[in-house]
Amino acid sequence: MIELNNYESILIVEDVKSLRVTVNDILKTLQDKPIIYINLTNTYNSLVSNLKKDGLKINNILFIDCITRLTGDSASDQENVLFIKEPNDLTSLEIAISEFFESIPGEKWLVLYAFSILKIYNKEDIVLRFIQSIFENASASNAKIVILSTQIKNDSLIKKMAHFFEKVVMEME
Amino acid sequence: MKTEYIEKIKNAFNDLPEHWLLLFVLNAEDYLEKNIAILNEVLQQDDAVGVYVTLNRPYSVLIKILEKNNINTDKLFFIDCITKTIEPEKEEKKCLFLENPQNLTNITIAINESMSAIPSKNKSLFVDSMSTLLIYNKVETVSKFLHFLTGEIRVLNLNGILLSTEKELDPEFADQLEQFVDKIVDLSK
Amino acid sequence: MTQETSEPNNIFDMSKIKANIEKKLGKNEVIEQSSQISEQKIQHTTENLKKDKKAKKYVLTGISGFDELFENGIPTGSNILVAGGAGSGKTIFCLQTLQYHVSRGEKCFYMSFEESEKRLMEHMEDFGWNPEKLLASDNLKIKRYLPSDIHYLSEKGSNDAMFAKEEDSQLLQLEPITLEEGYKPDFVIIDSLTAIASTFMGKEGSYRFYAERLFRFFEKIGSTNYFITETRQMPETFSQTGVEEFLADGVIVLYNIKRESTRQRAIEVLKMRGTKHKEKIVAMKISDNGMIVYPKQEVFGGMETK
Repeated sequence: MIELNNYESILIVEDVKSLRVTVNDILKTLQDKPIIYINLTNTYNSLVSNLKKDGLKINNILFIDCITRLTGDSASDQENVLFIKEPNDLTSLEIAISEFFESIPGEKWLVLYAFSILKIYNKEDIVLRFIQSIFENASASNAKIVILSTQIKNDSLIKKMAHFFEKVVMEME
Repeated sequence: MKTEYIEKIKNAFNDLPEHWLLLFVLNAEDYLEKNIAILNEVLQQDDAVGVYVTLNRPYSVLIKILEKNNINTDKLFFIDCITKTIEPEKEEKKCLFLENPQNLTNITIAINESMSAIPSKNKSLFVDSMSTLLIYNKVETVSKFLHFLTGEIRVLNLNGILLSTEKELDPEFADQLEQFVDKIVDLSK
Repeated sequence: MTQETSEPNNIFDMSKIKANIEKKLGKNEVIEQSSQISEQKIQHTTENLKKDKKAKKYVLTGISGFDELFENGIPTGSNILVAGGAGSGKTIFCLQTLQYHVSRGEKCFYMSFEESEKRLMEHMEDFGWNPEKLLASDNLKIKRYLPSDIHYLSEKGSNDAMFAKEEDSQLLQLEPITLEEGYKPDFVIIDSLTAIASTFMGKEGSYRFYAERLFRFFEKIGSTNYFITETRQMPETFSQTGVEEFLADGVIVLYNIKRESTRQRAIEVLKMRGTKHKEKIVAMKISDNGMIVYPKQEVFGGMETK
């Protein structure tokens, strides 16, 4: 497990199975830190159910759910989840992230899983600009970033953004 | 050989969340045989029912094969995306015929409507197969469709079985698909 | 073993942070959650609106799923463009909403500059809406207009609108179309602005002037009006000159999207003043009984404009 506190920004590229374990390990390690957690593969309800089953605390996490509203479901509002219309609403995502960073003094974390899904909904250059803006917000607010992704064949996006990060972990099978 | 993959299928359903989504990767040679084994495993429970989306075989052919292999087709409702591309459909009580596999919007509407109509808490969706969708649609469109569909499966508390042919055939698509599911079960080896 | 603490964490109160974010997002979330209109809410809303005269009034279209795209409905008295390409369902949309209102005892007027009354009745018959019964109820009037009917009525007689000019102050007092004396419909369909515009070929200035007068005319009457306008299948402008979509209170766009060898229908509320609405293109079908909209259904493929 990578030493999270040594770095301001980390990119982790692994196979899907390992990625699932890694993201849970990261959430466990950061249990006492405020986290904004964007999960692009799962709904809030399903995600929280799995995390609680794994014994993770969640009261330090603000979840961003980009899936529930996409399906048209009007799930009831809950304290620690923000529903975003859909994964191509990068503007709202950026606002949510920057507001989170500004609201919390001291150390805070952004965990984004699984980054490659943004490419399904957005053009590559838009995604890159989005990542750049996250970095700008993070550096202004002393926030730390962890982005997790699987490597999609023939996709150059990961390579194009890898240089933004202080630490890159690429472990593909 | 058969006992090996049967065992693998049984084990696939261990350690899953309450509502799960699995991707089974099959090879072309014994695709049907393994598909039937998966169906058998999922429909074993008394209250298990399902919606079967067929993009490969017409309903009329599929139902005969399933019944011949002792699958209780009374537990299944079918969405046939292929018959109408070949011939006019006949009225079938257990099957909804869609125009073609290109219209992914209609497929999701049909899935939604079928699932709402089935009175059970143990409902599963079978999509046969992911790879066939790619013949009729661009990768980007199918990826979006599947991301949406898997979200629906979670929101509606369903179980999902997605069938796909061997990974090597559609590497980019397979990489995206893997992220949406709880488990990938490779039966192609 | 970790346990979820029930005590709020004072350093980072997630609910407060979330509230700040939602404020910044301008309550988009609220629109999403409250735009689902159930049958009960429709009934409740229309009943309450009748009681509360001070409340803003809204109307529904009665089209399955479409009204759920709005927080309350369409503000009464709106001028709405119904835009779309050939075969996208514009006429069906308008006839279906008329059918809904007529069956509720409201006065509806279909002004056709293209199809004959007989043809329109056949359309309604196709969907089982019994046009003869609706006409017999006296709440539905269908009238075919000719290009020569586009005129201004003045004390001196008709003036050809085609020669109207924006700077002609006299014409500002005149009416762009005539209705029966004393007739005040609740709903009007104008089918279509495209047909009207075609009579002004080469006189775009006159047409713009006329269109503006037409919109003001219907505003004065107080009816809720649907103006059909023909566009390309994947439009980037929603009216002949662009001025109509500026003048209109609302724009509804119907799509018949080409996907390889098939077509996929879709609909969106592009603009509607005075109410919150879903900002998304959603799936739509035309069944044997009329139009059905799927307000939660994403449209896959074919929407790319490149």
